[in-house]
Order: sequence, then C-alpha cells, then structure tokens
Amino acid sequence: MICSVKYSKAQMKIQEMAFVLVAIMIFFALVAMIYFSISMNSLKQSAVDLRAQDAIETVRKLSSAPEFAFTSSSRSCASCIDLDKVMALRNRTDYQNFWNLERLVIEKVFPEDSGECTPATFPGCGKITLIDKSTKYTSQRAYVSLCYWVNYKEGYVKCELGVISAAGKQI
Amino acid sequence: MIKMRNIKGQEEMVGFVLIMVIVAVVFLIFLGIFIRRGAPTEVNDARDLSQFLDSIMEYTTECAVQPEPAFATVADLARYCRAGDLCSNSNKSACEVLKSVLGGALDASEDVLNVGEDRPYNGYILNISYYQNSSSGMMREEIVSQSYGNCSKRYKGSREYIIPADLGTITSSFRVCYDKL
Repeated sequence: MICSVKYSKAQMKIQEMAFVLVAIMIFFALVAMIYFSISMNSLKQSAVDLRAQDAIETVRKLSSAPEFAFTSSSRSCASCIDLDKVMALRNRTDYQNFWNLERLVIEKVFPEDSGECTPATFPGCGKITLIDKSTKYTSQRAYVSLCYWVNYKEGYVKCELGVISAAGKQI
Repeated sequence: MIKMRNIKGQEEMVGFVLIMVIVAVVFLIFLGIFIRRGAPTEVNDARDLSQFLDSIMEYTTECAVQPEPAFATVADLARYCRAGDLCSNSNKSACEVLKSVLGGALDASEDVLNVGEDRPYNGYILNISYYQNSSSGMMREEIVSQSYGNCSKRYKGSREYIIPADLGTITSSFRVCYDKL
C-alpha cells in the first residue's frame, strides 16, 4: 500500500514537470513564431519598398537624361520630357542596350489617346515604345509632362500629362 | 491522500496555464501598440505624387488669356482664375477651364494613381489656394478644389507646388487617402 502511494506521487511529479515543460515550449515557440513572422514581414516590405524606390529613381533619372529632358530658355521644367527627341530616338537601334532595360515606354495619360506613335500619327497618339525586349516584366512608372513643339501661328510648346514606365532585370 | 495530491497538482497546472495566458495577452497588447505606433497616418513628401502634381501644373490648356499662341498652363490658369480673367480665344472663364482640365486629368489618372473602389487608395484631394500674410494672420482663399471618395483617415501627400502671385503665393497640394494599405 505504501509502495503504491509513493509510486503515484512520483508519477504525478513527472507528469506535472512534463506539462510545465510542454507549456513552456509551446509558449516560447508561439512567441518566436510571432516575432519571426513580424520581422520577416517587415523585412520583406523593406526589400519591396527599397526595390520600388530604386526603380522609381531609375525612371526619374531617365526623365532627366539628356536624351529625354526638355530644355528651353523660356521655361524651366524638371519633370518635362521632350517628345520630339523621343520620337527621334524611336528607331535608333544603338539605344536598345544603352540603359540596360527590358522595356521603356512613354504613355500619354491626359488627354487620352490610343495607338503607337508614328511620324504620321504623332502627336495624336497614345504611346511611344522605345525598348520592348521582354514580355515578362514588372515596370515602374513616374509621372512626366510630355512636351512638344506645335507649329501654330508663331509656334508654342504644348505639354501633356504622361508616364514613363521602365522595366529592367535589376528592377 | 492520493486524491488530495492529485487536486493540488491540477490546481498548479491551471495556475500555470492562467499565468501563461495572461503573459501572452499582455505581450500581444504591447505588440499591437508597437505596430500601431510604427504606421504613420500622414506622409507629406511622396515623390511620386509631387511629380504628378508638377506634371499636372505644367499641362498646357486650350485657354489663352494673352493672344494666341500663348496658351496657359494649369499653373498660369490658377493665377488667371484668381484674377477673374477670361480666355481670349473662347467665351469661357479661366476658372471654368481650370476646373474642367483638373477634373479630366484626375479622372484619366485614377488607374495610374491606383485610386478607386477595390484599389489601395480610396480617394484624393487636389487643392489650389492663395495664401497671404496679413496683420490678422495668414489669409487663405481657395481657388479650386477637386476631390473624390472618402478622405477622412490616413493620407499620403505631395510637397506643395508654389507659384508667386501678387503679395502672396498660390499653393497647390495633392493627396491620396487610404484606410489600410
């Protein structure tokens, strides 16, 4: 009888210890999982943000590149693209690898127009594709003013609202 | 005797579980507070929106207050609108053309801006106002304001686009609003 009582007490102690250990393990596992999921999420978000920021910077740099930038003695505009220059660049094959991009397109947003620009349709057209090497891409966009010369009376510069979108291997 | 010891062990386990639950709840509350504190509700230097605002202000309209071909940009129209000028090439006022151009440009940009139902941003506000310092403080006169959707919670805004005018400045700002991103 005495023997049996001692055996049950020890069993209880072991059981108790086992439960405590399991509970502690579960608790710390939960805490660790929450911590890692949060830190991983924020890390992923930071990486995505940095990549997007990097891509946006590339697109912004492109809009101020000499090949695109609109320069005028009477008007200073940091966000303006010279569409006449872009039209001239359209079929230049030597620029296909110049910016190391897979895709580079300039699109008109407002007023809305459709169709690829050609010398016959310009400026009443929707987009100018400068580089289009890949069908799989994630492009980044930046707003720009699309400016071009209009031969009306003495002539004037007309600017419209557009976006420049670029996609590259690094982006 | 055995029964008494069993009950005592069970009580200890229940107590331990209770402590664990309380600690976990406190931990989650702290975590919630920490995460909420990290999320800003207002951002006023979003470069993409600043670029959008810059581009829209450079847009050349069909309105020429001066003789053609001096067609006014949106920035020029804001000044002409405040002065109550009329377009010399049409019967419209500068304010009418300004409102119609801004409305059209913003409608056309909803896709690119990701604004609308089931999109990350649920509204926007574009405001152009005249500000002047006076003896009674800062005077504000709204020239035009275009908005869409609900803009009462969080927002991301552009930096201000400032045009000198008379004794003050015409300041334009653009912001997109969201509940949750």
